[in-house]
Amino acid sequence: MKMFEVKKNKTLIRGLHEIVANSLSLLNDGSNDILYTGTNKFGNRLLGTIVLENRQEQYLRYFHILITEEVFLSFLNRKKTLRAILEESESFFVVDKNFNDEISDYNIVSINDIPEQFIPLQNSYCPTFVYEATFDYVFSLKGGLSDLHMAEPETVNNMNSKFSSFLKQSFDFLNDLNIGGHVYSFPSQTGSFELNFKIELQEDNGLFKISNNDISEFLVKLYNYIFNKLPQHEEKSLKVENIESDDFKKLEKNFSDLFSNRFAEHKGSEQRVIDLITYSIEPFKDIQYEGFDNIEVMNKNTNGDRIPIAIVKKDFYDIVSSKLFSPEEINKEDEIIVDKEPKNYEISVYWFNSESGKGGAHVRDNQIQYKTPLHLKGRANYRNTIFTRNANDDEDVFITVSGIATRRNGRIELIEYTYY
Amino acid sequence: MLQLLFCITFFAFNILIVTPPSLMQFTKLHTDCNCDCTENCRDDTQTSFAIKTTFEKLDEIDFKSYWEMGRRDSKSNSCHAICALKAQSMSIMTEATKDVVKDIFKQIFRITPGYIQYLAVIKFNDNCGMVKASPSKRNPHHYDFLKCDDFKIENVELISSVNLHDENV
Repeated sequence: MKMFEVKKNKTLIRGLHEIVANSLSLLNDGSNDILYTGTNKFGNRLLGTIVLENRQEQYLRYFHILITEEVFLSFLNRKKTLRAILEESESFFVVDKNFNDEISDYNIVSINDIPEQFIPLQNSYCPTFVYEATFDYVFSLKGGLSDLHMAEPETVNNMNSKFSSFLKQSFDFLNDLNIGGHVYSFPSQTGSFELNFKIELQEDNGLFKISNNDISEFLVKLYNYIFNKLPQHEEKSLKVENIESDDFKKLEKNFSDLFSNRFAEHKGSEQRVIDLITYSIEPFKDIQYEGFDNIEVMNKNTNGDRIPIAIVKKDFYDIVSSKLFSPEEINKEDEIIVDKEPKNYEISVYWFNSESGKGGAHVRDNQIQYKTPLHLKGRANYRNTIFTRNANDDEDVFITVSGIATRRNGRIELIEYTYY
Repeated sequence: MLQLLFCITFFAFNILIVTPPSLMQFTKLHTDCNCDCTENCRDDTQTSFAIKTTFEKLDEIDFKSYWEMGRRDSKSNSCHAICALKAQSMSIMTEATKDVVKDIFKQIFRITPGYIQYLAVIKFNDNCGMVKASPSKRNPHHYDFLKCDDFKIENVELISSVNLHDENV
């Protein structure tokens, strides 16, 4: 393939093109970095991609593109192609390096200066095998006071509690696999104001221990879905009987695979994933965005580099709650009726967390059958209860329990059962 | 009877599994380092491998290692880092891996069509060198190839070469 000549155009401001901090290789083919990112001396994010390798003259050519965090996230989450990013950029840098990664030349160009055979394809989405997920997360408060690396102590305490609760809820399903877990918080760091968390799983040391890499990957996919894909769905898209979203189906398949990989029984994975999402987003319901404007969620890779997952904005909870079944959601136009005293309900529990007392069940109500969340209260744990036994039944066995139901427009949206 | 069965199994194991010592020399490979880069390597003339090439036909330059072209690892001088630079990067192509490997190359091609133009499938004949599995999370089928002293491009068999620009990628 022929190489291409670059017009000699430099910028008036030096150093815009060069990554000097936060360097992170996103994809390496075993020889060279194919995709990478970092920041220049002004703190602007650059996305780098290899363009060609000239083995005869021994140099490598790259594009360095100045991009916003949001565009970078769109690329990582496969919502925007590399070609689209180049087309939307008025200009970007062509950077030549020798084989020891030293810059030998750079010039500023527009996409019209680049021959077609060197421009990424129309389907140049970020490859799916870009990085390895871990159980380490960073929640960075952005904007306002937090950009000065400061936060009110009350805000820090409150946000620590919210993020910890979000993470705990999101891996609640692991109890069904006899895997416990804790969330540990680490001291906050600057840039802008970062709160660090680590999930540690606890499981029996069985003879055939299975790697938990699939769990860490699932959690990153779950968070990506919650923060990036779900807000794009149509209203009430997860309330319908047959969910059509391909993104949701992929997530449900990943969820089922976690159980299959461990030879564990699983029933009703669709509703369980919906419940998982519903409970996970609850901590975001009453976040007060005071002293910051939004929250950047990141996964830390094994080298400690931060891989952005999402930017959560103020309207996140309002947007996603409208797509979901939410037991606490109060819509004034709807008729909400709560039983004044416990009544008998026929249910078949399809999942149940014996630690938290939360679960899901099929309920027979006025000769129709549908799914509803289940909340148990009054005990430290709910092991060896009728609910755990019913959840473990091979067949869909219905039991009668005396609980308090919350109905929305006649349909049961929650059954609560209290142990006294 | 059991003893006879044991003897047969033992000899079959030795013949099939234990690789006889290679006659190939790797003096050039090791002249400027104190590493044994051929540790855990094997002589393999049966398996196919995929590599990116500069031209449609194989060229000596595609088998020049980054070490030979002057690259040094500024962060590490471990034997692992040195031997990786002295090796040629490729992927194993079997019935089980070929679809995954092609997909990896295609995904990279979509991002950077000027960097990967030709995808060649090759086999090594005698007196080429040795191969070693070097899997990564991103490419679990990644292999390293280390040239022996008598390496000649003519001893590398080109099975197929695809111009990815002509493919429906």
